[in-house]
Amino acid sequence: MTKQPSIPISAETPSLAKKLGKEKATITTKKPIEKDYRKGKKSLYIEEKKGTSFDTCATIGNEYVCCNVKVLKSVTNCPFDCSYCFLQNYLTNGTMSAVGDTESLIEEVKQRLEEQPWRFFRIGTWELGDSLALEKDINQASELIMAFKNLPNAVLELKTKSDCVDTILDLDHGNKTVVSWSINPAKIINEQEHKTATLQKRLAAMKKVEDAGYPIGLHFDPMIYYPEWEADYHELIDQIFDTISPKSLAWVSVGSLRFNPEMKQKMALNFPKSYIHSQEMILGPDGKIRYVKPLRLNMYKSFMKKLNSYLDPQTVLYFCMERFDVWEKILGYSPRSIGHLDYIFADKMRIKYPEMVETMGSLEMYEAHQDS
Amino acid sequence: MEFKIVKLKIEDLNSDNSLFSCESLRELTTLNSSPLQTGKLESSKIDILWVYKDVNGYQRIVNPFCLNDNIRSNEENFSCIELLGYSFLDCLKFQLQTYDHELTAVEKIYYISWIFENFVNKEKISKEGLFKELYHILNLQAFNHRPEKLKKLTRLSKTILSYCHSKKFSLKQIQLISQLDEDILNYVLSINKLVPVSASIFIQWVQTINDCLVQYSWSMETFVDYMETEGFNTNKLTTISETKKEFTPPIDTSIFKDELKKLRYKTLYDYNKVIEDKVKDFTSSKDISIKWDERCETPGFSLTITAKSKQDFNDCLKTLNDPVSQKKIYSILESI
Repeated sequence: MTKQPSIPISAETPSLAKKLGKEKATITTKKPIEKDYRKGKKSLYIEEKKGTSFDTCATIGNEYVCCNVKVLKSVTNCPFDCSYCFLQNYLTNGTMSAVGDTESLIEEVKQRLEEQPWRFFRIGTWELGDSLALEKDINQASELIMAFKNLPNAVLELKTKSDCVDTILDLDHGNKTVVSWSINPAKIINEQEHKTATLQKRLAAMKKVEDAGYPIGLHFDPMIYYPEWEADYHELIDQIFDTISPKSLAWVSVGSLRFNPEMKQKMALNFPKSYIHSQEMILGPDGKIRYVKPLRLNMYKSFMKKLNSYLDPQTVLYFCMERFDVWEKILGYSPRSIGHLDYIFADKMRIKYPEMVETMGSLEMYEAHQDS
Repeated sequence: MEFKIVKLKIEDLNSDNSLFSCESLRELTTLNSSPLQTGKLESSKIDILWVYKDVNGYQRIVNPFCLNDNIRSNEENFSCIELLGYSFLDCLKFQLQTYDHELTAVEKIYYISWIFENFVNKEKISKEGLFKELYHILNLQAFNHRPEKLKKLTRLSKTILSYCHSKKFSLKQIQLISQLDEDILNYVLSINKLVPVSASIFIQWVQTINDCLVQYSWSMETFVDYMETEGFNTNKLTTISETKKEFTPPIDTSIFKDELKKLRYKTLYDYNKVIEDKVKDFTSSKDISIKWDERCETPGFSLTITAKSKQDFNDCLKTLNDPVSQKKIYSILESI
């Protein structure tokens, strides 16, 4: 396993401290405020769940298709240091923290599921951090895996750039957890995804998870443009399918680098050697800077052709925050709405993993409730 | 605050044993050639020099800008206010609080730099401590936790700071350009000398050049060579500036702007060129025009018909209904 940086842990209450192990937990009464997101990565604070943790991943707009995945904000900040990470411009308090009372998170999920029993929920814990990077210390993913096993119509997605999977391998997940990787060619991992697991380590972890029977997710997002991108991304696809079977994949997403305009300066400041923020990009109608569309189309076309030569038809292949016309040009179709894409997920998962989807709502229901 | 008026001679400042024991003359000389000496700071702002006695009993200057004004005015003698029985910090704060104009960003940079250079340690106060006392008065809250960031700005060359001062750059704008290679700034300044550009254009150009250097992994020399190969060099601009009495910047710098845009957005440039050619091929009629999103992000186009008569309108419709025209329109649509 990748050696994670040594992180001192503090906790908010005695019960949370006890849960972490007396020898490493220090009890403090107030979450420290750390304005520097990098300094915040050097300690881990375990806190009680406060307010609402359940949310929708992206801001839903009219121009770009969102997959409508739900998120559970269970960790904040991350020990890794990716040059393109939006957290560097997002967190007002950079103190790395995790919710310690997992049962409160699960209660909130249960309530949400009860409100829409017809709906199939994909729920990820990666909105503000990495789902597995801290697992050895917090045991949060393991508790969630066990809880999701018994939740109807919901699947947990643990998305990571780590290889911290050993503690979840023996769990009885019941096909209700998808372990997924955000993945890029080795050059990008080495140059831009600092402190994350190497490609080889991620692939090795992927194999372990496949052997443990977990459905796997892949997120080629953000795809990054550089002179050798095409050969490197093709090689990456080959490396992945030399390691795992395409049949083990629940879903695969593809998306290109994008960020808020104010991020550009932050990236240049925080990562002076990085070149990725100054490529040929424009400001889109959703307020995000992204590669110009002809460049994106060129990248997607080549990448998808290669990827499609491997993929199982029941695997959901989708773009993350891409235009309807880009879907059409690359995949030959586009979902007619965000609700439609959400429905496609439910339908395909129902067939591939019957345990995941017990009740299937209609397309109309998904579309009518796509904003909730 | 107690004070007394004392008279001071310029020569006093040039001697180490002078009344003012001004160890910081070198820095003050620097200030003399700073933007503050360019005449932008009028003497009405701070019209009298203030001095105080430091912990060693030496008199020191509180408001260096005034010194510049006095030197500029070539007066042999000038009056000073000597503040009595107050600490350096009290004097500084009092002086700043009674100062009736907001200092420009460049002035603040120089001022803070001058204070850091000359009073920290000597006055047994840390930079952070000093800054903490002053940032509210100087309206530098943005640098509250990081005074060193402000200090970094003083590393910019005087030429650049002079330009920033003349264009009234904000601290944020100065901070922005301070992160860029000085060669880029000097290059755009050399253009600005010949064909003056606004602050916003200056910032836009330096940022775009910086992006190009990162995008292509180029050095500044490679960039300048490229621009010269493509028909733009500052020597050419010199010729223009010598032959023309009045400049028209949009025309004079159009080659530069076009080449910069072409370089930065090469894919888009080529893509738009293809669409442009297709549109030209289609709209032989001047009464039909097509506009599209030149960022190539939003698909589709808007087609406008200009008709002054029924005949005009019918002619346009006829053109649009023509199968050959329609084929061309579809081809344009597919491209966008």
